[in-house]
Amino acid sequence: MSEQQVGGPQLSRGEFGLLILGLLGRREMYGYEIVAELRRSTEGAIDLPEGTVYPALRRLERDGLIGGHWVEMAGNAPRRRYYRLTQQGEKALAAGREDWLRFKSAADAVLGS
Amino acid sequence: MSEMTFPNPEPRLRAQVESILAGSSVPAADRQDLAEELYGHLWQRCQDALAAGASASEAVETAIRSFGEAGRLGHEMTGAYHSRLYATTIGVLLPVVAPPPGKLWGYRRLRLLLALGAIVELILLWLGLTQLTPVRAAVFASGAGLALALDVMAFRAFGRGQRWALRYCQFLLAIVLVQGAEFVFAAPPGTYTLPLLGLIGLWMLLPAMGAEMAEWFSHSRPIGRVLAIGLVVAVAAGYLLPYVAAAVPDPTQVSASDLDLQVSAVCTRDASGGVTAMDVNTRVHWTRLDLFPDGLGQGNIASSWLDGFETGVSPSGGRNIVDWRTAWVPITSHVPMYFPYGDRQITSPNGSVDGLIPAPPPSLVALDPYVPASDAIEFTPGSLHAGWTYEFVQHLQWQDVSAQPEPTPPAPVDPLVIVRYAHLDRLVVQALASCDRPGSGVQMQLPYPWTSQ
Repeated sequence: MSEQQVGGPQLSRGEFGLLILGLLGRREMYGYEIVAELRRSTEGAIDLPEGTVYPALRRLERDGLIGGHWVEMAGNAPRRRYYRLTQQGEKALAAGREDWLRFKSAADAVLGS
Repeated sequence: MSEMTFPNPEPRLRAQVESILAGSSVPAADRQDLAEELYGHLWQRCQDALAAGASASEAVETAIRSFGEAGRLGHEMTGAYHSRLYATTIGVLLPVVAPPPGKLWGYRRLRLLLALGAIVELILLWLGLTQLTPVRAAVFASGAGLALALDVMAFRAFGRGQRWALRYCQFLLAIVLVQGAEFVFAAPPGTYTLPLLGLIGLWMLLPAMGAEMAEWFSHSRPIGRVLAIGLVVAVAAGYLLPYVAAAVPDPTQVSASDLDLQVSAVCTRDASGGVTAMDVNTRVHWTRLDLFPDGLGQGNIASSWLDGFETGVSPSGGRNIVDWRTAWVPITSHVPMYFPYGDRQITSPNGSVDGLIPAPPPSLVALDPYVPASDAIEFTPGSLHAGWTYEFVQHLQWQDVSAQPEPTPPAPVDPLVIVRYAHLDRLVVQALASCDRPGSGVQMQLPYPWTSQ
């Protein structure tokens, strides 16, 4: 994934993808839920335009890291597309998490924890 | 989360989704699913805003605002479905930024201009591919193809409100106007030229420069400096490459170094040392032949050029040629063909006629004294086989014409044989020989009388 920024000044496209993988590693979610969960988990520190989650989801799906399926809703509510990690996505999440921790540890050593 | 029932937000939310997708290049197969997913998100955001106490209109506006700017999202969608190259070029040049303007003055006229431009480029592309030799056709086609692609893209982008397409239109019209002005100024003195195309161009340029048109294109976003420069380079290449193609050397076509021309002469002399007869032997050997010399599609039907072979002989002092007999024989493969006189055909090993030597040689013809004599033949370039050696045998005989009025008969001089081989209108190789002094072919500078250049 490229390092192009998608939202806040410190969140690259790759990091955004990793965060989505992290959320989907907990349970399967749909787009709106991912945005809400991201905002809640980070206490609003990461607050991107909500629509940007969909290009990121498409990239992850195109790369085979996540898979989506539609779920019909009751009433006149539109159906939702839920996403879950694939096996490849789980490996990518584990590798990304390891890289991130190593980076964090290195950054902490320099900047102080 | 409560569910909003009134007023119905769907049209406004669907319009926003359409606006996002219009600014993207999402494949048609994925478009409907993506639209539904985005709509579901906006719809739920509305429900949550209503539940938080917002009015219906506030809820819709909140959902749209928090979703992000449509143009940027559309661009990111393009990047998610296509390569980076596509997203940063086509994905920027073609998204819809404004719906068709209806009866905007000049809109259809300018699109017609782009459509006509594309048709002209298509015809040029076809002509170039069918009529030019391979490398030149490739250069020509890359230029004409680029111009065609630009015309088609500009045609589509113009209808979507992209300002760069308007600039492209203005560029085309400027060219038409310059050409019109050129016609007027190039008219011979005392004559008047009506630059019809230029006037049509001017008529079309007026709406292209109008305020209404500028207003309609005002929603267009800048395409960026890099892409703009790339577009200018592509436009320049599209218009220049077809002109450059004619000057590009084509290695698939033969050059003078592929032709070996050798001429030798054996002379018979009288007691005074003057030449009375000469046997001229010319050998032609092509190491290779042209690849599609009449174009990839053999479409260069206007070309009437043949290979030409000319032998000239300078006068032998005080004598004139009275007999000139020729024969044309391939000697490498020992094909049974020998045409000393009469019909002179070049045949291949399987017996088919490969070429004709139509002009019979002057034989027993009294020419004016002291005038150089010559014999020329022509044949289709494909008649000769690469790797074969062809021998052209000529027997020339002189007679003494000193009895005719001539104040001071010139001293006997050995005649000089000049053999020139012209390949189509492309190259001429010349060899000089005299009695017992053979000569080899040397490329001549063009233009040469046989060539079109």
